[in-house]
Amino acid sequence: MTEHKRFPDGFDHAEEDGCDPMIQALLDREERRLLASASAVPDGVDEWRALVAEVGFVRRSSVLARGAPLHRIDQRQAWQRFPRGLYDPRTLALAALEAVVSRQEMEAEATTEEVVEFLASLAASAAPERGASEHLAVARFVLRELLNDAQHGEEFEVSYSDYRTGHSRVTLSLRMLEEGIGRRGQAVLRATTPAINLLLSGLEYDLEDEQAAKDTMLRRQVASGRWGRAEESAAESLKLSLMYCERVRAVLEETERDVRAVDWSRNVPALLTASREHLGERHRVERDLMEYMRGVRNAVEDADVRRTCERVLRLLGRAHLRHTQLLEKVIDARPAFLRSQAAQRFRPPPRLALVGVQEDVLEPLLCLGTEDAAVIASRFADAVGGPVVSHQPRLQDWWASLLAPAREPQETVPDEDIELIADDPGELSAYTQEDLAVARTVLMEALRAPVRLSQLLAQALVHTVEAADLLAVSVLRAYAPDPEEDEEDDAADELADLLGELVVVLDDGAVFDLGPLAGSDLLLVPTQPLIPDPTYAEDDLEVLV
Amino acid sequence: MTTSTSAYSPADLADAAVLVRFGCQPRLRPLQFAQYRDLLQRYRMDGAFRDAADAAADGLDLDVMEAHTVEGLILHPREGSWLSYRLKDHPKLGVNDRLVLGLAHVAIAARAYPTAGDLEEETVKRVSLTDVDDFLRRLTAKLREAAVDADGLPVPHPELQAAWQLYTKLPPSQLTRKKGQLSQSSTQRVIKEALDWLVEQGMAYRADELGPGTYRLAHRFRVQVREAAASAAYTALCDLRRAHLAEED
Repeated sequence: MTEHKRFPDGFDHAEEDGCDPMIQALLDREERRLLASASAVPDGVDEWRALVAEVGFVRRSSVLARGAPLHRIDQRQAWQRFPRGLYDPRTLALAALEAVVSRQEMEAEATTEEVVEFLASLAASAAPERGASEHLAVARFVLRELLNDAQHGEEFEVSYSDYRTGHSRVTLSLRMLEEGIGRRGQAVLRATTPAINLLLSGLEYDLEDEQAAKDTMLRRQVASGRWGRAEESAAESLKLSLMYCERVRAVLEETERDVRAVDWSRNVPALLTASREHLGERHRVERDLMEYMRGVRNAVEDADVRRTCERVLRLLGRAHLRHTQLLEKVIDARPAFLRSQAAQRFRPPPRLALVGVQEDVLEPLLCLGTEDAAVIASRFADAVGGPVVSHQPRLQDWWASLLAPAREPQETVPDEDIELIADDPGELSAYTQEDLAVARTVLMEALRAPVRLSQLLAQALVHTVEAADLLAVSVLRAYAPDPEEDEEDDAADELADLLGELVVVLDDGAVFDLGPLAGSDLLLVPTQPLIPDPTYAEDDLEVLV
Repeated sequence: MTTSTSAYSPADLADAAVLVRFGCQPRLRPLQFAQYRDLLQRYRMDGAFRDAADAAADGLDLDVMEAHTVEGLILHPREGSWLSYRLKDHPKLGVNDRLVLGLAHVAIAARAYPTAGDLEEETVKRVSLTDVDDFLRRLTAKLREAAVDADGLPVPHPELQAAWQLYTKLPPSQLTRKKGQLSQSSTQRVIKEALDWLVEQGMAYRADELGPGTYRLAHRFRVQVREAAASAAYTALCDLRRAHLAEED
């Protein structure tokens, strides 16, 4: 797998690209092919032009372009509010990335607050004479820029020119940091692959290489007696083992879901063989290291060093255990694959008309242009919806709600005092015919002259509480129709013919309290009396004229 | 109108209509209502009653897909009928938002039932927000990989933006500063919206006990994807391809 990294000469990359898309997907590498073959120099172009047309040059310009988001930070208008020449946003941004990467994939990932705090402390060391609030502002500013908060966390767009064949402008989109949800539900930061590559200045190691490097480092550190560093590398080694476990587990899980999602004909067996060899080697190396460390531990007198040795040994033991677990998985992988295959591929063939959602719909859909894709995706979403019974407003309700006077929020009357509408639909139709009759007669009285709600209710209360309640509800409804009332209350509607057309209900802020009922004392004013009163006849005429 | 041997009484017709009415409320479960359960049983056993119920549904522009003992009568409104749902009617949704929401719907189905065979077997599938989002991002990462030339440098293609690019532009899960909820522009919030809509339509159930943002997908959803959505989208795709080919000629 890793030979071409060390011996780049004569290795056919096209073949390498083709043979392990799965491993690439697993290792999540965007720019694996660092050692591509040099392209032939086109004829008739002078030598400088040829230099610019080289792949290496284009790659360098792309790397330069990827750093652009960091350089943009102090070009921002808002950065001008900090004093010039004190803080360096690029270093702070890199420091933030460094901090995030150091804790990535571990149990305790870097949370947003921690990173802000760290950056603020860096800013404080840069300018100790400035205020703490400014340090915090600088830290937040840098982190927000990295997250591209100005554009709601969208990817940064950077572009550069590509002169390999003529000229074309290439636009890359990349993201530096992502905010995610950690294992304990807190907001954590994660660096993306481009950001990590930027941090390692475009270099990438293979997992195995990195572990080999770690081991030699550990040996050297132990030999030269730098104990703290030794411990660090042991921790790193454990971390790498954890990541490795996680990746193999992901392949197996994906297989259980859909066998064809991973290529079991060539790639996975190759991966499994490679990982088996790698694991065997790791086992051997770790055993050796542990023995070596034990020897060292027994030789030193210094208690501190001994404790460190113990810790390193424990870490190595953990890594060893992890590898043992992983080895079990790898050994079981083939049977697991066969089980999944038997379950998935050997079931009775589906009916001819069926469509595979992933390969027949989703994958072609992603390749379409946005407009076409929007049409087709909508078709899918519409068809998956099932029946939707729309609740259309009846014209009558709509008309009433349009004409209803706007409700004034009343601060003086707490809501619970005017809770007149029962929650239980069973209660809503609890008014008997007698109550209705009482309410109707009392209301007819109201149509003679202006009257207060409290007077009406007092009359109704003489008969029953329910009648008064019904009356109150009806009047309230006439005052402020509730357009969202879907539980139709027939009894209250019975009175609507009287209230709706013949009476205007007004609120002048008066309040009443009758024991069972209390609230705003509404005023009922008849538009024209049902029974013409001789004393008001002249007024009526004037009104009509 | 054929002269059928069985004459329906008004009570039978009312029952058939009641069954269709129950079917129009996808969140009702037959096990909760004795009447629903009995009518469903009758639908399965009594051919004449089944014909009556089918005819009632037909008159309402609905297709009866399945009468399931647990999930009830699964109805599908024909395309463009008065009971069908349209993403177009969704308030405040631009073309791009509509695309991302539609993609979320397709991705949920593809994540749960990747192959045609998966649509045929009755197992309860579980999906979670991060699961669907990672799945889509893996696919888009593949497309991004494919969009490089032999030297590993991105191919410049200034023409129209592809759907996957639009999706990758958005952040997976950005939390709002104030409340720590998923922000409007993040893809996981869009997926959540799609899943919540499925919950509302009785096709999914929240399963927070299995981890945050996890949902169970009901059999009803599988039937809906199998019988209607997948084929509708596939047909539209084929038509589009044919149109493109015709243009090229």
